[in-house]
Amino acid sequence: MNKNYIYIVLLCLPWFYACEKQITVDVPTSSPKLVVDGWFSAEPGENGQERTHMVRLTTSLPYFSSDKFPVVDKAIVELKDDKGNTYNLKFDIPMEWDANQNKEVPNPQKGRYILKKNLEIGISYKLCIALEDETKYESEPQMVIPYNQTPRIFSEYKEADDVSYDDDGYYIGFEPKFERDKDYYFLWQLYRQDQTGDEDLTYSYAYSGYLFGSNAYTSVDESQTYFDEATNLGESYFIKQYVVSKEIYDYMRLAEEQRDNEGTQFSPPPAPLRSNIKRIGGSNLDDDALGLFVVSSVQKTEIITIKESN
Amino acid sequence: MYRGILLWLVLIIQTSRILAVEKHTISGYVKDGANGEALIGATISIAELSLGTVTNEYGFYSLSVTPGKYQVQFSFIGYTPVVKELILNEDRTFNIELKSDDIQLNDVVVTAQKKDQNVKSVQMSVEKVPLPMVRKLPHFLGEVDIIKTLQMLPGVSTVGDGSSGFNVRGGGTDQNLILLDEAPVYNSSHLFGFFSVFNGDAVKDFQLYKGGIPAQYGGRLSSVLDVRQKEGNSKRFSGSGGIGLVSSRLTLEGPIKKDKTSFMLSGRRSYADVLLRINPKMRDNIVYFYDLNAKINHKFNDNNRLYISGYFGNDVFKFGKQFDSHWGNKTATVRWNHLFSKKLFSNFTGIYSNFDYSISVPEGTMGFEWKSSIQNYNLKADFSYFPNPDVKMKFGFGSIYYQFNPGKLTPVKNSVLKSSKLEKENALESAAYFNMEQNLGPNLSVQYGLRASNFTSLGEKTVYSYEANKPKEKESSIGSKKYNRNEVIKNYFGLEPRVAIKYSLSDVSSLKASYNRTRQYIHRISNTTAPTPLDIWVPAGKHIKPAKVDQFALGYFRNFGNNTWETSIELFHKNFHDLVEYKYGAQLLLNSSLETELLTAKGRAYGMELSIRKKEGRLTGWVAYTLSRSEKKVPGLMNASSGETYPSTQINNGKYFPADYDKTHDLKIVANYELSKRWSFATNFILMSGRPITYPYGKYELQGNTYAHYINRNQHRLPTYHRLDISFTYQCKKKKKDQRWQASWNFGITNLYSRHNAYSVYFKESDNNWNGYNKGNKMEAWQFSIIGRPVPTITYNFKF
Repeated sequence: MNKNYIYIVLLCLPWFYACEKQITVDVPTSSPKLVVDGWFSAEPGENGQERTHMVRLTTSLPYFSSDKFPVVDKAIVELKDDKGNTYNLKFDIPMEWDANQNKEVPNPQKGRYILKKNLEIGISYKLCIALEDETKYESEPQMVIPYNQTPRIFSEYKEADDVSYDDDGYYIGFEPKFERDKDYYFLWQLYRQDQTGDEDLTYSYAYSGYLFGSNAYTSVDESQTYFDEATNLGESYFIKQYVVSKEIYDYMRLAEEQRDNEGTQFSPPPAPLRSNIKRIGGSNLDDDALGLFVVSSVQKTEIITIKESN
Repeated sequence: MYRGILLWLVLIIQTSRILAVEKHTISGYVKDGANGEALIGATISIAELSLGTVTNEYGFYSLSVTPGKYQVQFSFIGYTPVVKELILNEDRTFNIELKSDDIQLNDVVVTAQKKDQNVKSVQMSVEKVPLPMVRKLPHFLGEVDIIKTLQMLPGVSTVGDGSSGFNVRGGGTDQNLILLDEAPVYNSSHLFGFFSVFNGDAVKDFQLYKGGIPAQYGGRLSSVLDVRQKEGNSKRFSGSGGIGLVSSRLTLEGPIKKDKTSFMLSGRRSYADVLLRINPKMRDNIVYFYDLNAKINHKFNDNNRLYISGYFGNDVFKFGKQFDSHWGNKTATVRWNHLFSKKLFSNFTGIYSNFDYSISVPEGTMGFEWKSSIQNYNLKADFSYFPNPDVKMKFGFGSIYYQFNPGKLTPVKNSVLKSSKLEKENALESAAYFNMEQNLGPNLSVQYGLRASNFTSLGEKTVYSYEANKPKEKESSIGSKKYNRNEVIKNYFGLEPRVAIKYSLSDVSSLKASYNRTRQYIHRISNTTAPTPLDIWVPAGKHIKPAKVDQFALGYFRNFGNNTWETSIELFHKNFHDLVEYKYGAQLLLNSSLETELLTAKGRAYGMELSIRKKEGRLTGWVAYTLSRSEKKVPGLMNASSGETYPSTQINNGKYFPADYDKTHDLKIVANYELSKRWSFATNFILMSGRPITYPYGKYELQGNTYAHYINRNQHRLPTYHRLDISFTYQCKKKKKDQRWQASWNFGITNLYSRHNAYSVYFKESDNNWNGYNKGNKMEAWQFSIIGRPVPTITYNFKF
């Protein structure tokens, strides 16, 4: 049930109308909290290299603050596996092209902790963080879940309508393949692959938000699902399927639902998102960090190029 | 404990003593002389004995007194009293027809009750507004609406404009037993809550019990709304109707055999879809609702009457070829009134009730149809025994057989979806009760009763088992058992005591107190602030417990100005147990193990209701103020090994939080003023606290997206709600004195001063925020209002 229904009802009763306006409200503010954005995958690195994993640490801001999210750059960050190994992550500030200076310059706002390592399927990892003020956090262990099925990717031309498709165009769809031995939880993301000029190098970037699915819940499993961004002829796309734990799936699904939640009386109440990064010695759940430590196995579909015959 | 037993013994002895004295009985029915409709709550009094009684729901009365010569007065407000002189030396029957008096033409009365009923009756926490008053009040888009009128009474509220249902004394909307001719109505709204399913022309009477609920009612925690349909004019053919901006309605009634058999047929339909067809772009969209009320009754003789009534209503909501939905209620009631003796009145009832809905995407690869329903079949017998003027006894028993169909998904042609079905569930709810109302002296009256209810959850269903002392989750499931059709899954039994006491301080003032326990065995599963027609009902079972509430109320009632002014103050306190609450992010749709998404909550509600009513004169109306609090608590499940609470089983760190419908202050003013013989003016004013809402405590960034950081639930409130509505009613002049056609115009404006009351406040990133990491980071708060401007209305009403 969403607010569109109400709009339609109102539309059909032309004698009155609803109104929507931006308002100013006083919202409460909690003290800044550590935010962990750590996304590890078992995808191997390119060209035989070890994969680079990144953990970005920031702190939360008051809701209406226009400041940039403060980056935490003096923490000790470690990845530990269930075989007793510990790997240190190093803080790194990436370089970015600055058109004004016509050269690459460091961008501290994108500072993050990095580790080059290929993760092993079936092994559990946890993330440990110690802040400068000696506050310590530790994640729940996350296993790289083995999974052997890859979705089938396809494209189809769709005309714009009022429900599913905003624009005319080719939409990328996929059919997941579920293994039946236990419950699996998936995130799917669409990637676009481009080529850069003369060097003929390819690069890809995420072209969509996440779609969510699990063989644990749905009764319409293995159905065709479409990403909601229209694509164009000649463009190339593929899909990455992340297999994650139930906790990660629930967190991400709820987080996305809340971003879309327009808070009507037909919406569920907003909920605190419970991170898997626990504060050591914390007195209650609200002491934990925000954000996530994600470990996933990844399956990549073939790359398709949009053609009229697709 | 011992004092309680002693009190019961005294009462029983007292009753026995009273029963022992030789008496004769006068009994019969009191009806409206113009149309033969039974008058509910008409007064029968004998001045010589300072005794009296009132008619029941069918207009029946019975009064047993010692032999003698008496003047018996039959009266009902708005009607000319009838006085009968009689020498009572044997049982006598008087069927009385009262004629309406001139008062009804010019003055609106706020209560249809006996003038001092609010003070004299032992019943407290009950609300009743006569239909003539309801019709004159301002109504949204001119639709006479019982539910919206109820929301103007003390202790009754709603979460916002256009919301379905109502909240009574801090209870949820699914905690109200809504009865139409004794058949439960599962969804009382049309158009998602803009209008109620009750057609004002088809309704004869309604009454809301907020507390002190008599023992004959059960099955819901917070209130009983008892709506009775018209029986049909047994004197002559007549009709009434109206043409409004949203809908039109027509009611026809008349005798099939005069004074023996009569019928009532009433229909209403909205026509927004007709207007939409004018616009080619909107032609494929359909939004409308309709109702059909029908009733037929037959009097076999003075001792036997049969009533057959039904309701059929539907909402249709179609959005082009993309979406199609409809939902509706169907009820049918067959009642047989039988008099076993002058003192023993009985009513045998068979009831069918159904609520169903469907949603479909009619075409395409994702096309499907989704259907869900709840049905019940109810058989019951109710008896009223009137041994003497000081004692009224009610007792009875009955059973309800429920069929729950939580959902079936069927793919349409060419759809890639798979068919899916949640298992049907069945249940049997049985109850027996007695309720005694007794005068223990000139000033002291008591009402006491007990309801024993039993609920059995029945197969066919697969029930999962979970590890003990662990959250019910798929991971903690240790197996399942398939129960065959009608095999017992779980049985619950409970006693529900009901007690009320009244002490008269004077002729115009009294003190009252009441206690009641009620149990609720079926729950509406809804994780939204306002219910939607697409919510499902589920029975208590192995994993879902019945909910209970204990309510205590205390009231002081005082009338002034020869009972023209009624004032009251009532205090109440409710303790809820085993309420259904939802885990954060609960997945309620198509979930075959729903218990994994549910939590058990405690609740408490307490408050004060002040009421001032003016019942007669050119100015009538009321002022109602409620100060209250309604809270819930989900303590969670303790992990026995660690001593910590499982996070997924707890809300708000296990502390009390305001319920979604908590309203601290709630002021309502309703007034009707007779400007002249033809013109009247009415107004509603509402001022109340905004409903609780959860605001973000901050924001953070994850994967380049900004998310709100929420901590505790419902710690803030929407802005204060206030609204003024007005209406004028013009009674058209008759061209001839004996002209049967009577017409009136009603002109109204809802939200006169264009207040933008918040339906919701929500938070989002600015639309211009998408530019990578930290480039925009701008957040906004938006307010959504349903009625954003003054809404005028005009309605033409007629009767003949």
